[in-house]
Amino acid sequence: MPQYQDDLSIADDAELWRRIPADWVVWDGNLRQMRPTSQAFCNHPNGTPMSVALAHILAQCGTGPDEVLAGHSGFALASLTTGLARECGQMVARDPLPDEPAHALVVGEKTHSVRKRFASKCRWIVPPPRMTS
Amino acid sequence: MSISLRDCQFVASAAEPPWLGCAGTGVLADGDVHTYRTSSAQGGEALLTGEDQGVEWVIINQSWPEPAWMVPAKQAIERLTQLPAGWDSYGARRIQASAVKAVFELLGCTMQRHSPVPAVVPTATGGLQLEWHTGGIDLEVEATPDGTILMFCDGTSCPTPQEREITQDPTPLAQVIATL
Repeated sequence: MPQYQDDLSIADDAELWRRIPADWVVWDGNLRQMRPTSQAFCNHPNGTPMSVALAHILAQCGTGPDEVLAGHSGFALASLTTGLARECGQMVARDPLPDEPAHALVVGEKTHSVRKRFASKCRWIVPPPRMTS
Repeated sequence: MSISLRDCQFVASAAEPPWLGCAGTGVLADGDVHTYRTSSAQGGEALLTGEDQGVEWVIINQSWPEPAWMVPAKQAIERLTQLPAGWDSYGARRIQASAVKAVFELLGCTMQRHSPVPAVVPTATGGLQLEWHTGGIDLEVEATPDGTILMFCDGTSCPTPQEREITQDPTPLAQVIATL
């Protein structure tokens, strides 16, 4: 298991983008808004950390939401701040991939309270095309 | 001696009609209280089998209207079972039959006729999650592929946020659903 460290060169206000499929969008009658389900912010099923894209790296590469969502019809795009992740006991580590230079990992246990906080505090970069139940 | 529908008629239930594998009690036309367990429920019809004081009895094709939440919940679950591997773009697994079975049984045991329709979402590990966010209550119930059922509740019916396993006893869930 790789050892990850919180990359402090990533500022607290740096945005972390995560793709949200339509089946992960729910209506929250208490918040009066469509938002991702808490299930949208789990670690990978194989136990590796949660994948995100660093928005500022995308911008440096001249890319943006369209590139993140390319090939994923019907998906929305949600944003968390690095500061929120750290408040929830997570670390944020760069993990550039050949085809994804902005790829990063949010490292840490994704308890229900962490996931719920992510779900309620994130903002839409690309909102869901339609509401699903 | 067996008693069939021809001999007695299901009149009323002390609780909500049972659905999909739950146990309950009912009063038959002969006046005795019997325990029963549903074995299937399709299209508003239920096959009930039970045993009371050594007498086997079967009620067949007893019909009652489906509750309003049942059709959309079933449709959502059926649609999610068709999702391919990787449906979330991050390596999610297909929904497992064990989770589907657990959710149907859970709905049958805990929902009331007028309970609000739950949102049904897939989980990346192959499970299902039911969600209600209404009336100041946030209620989420996750059925994992290994059969574990976890309940998360926060809000007016749960002054202190609750996280608990309810695999063996869904009573806490039924209690919260009753307040929705």
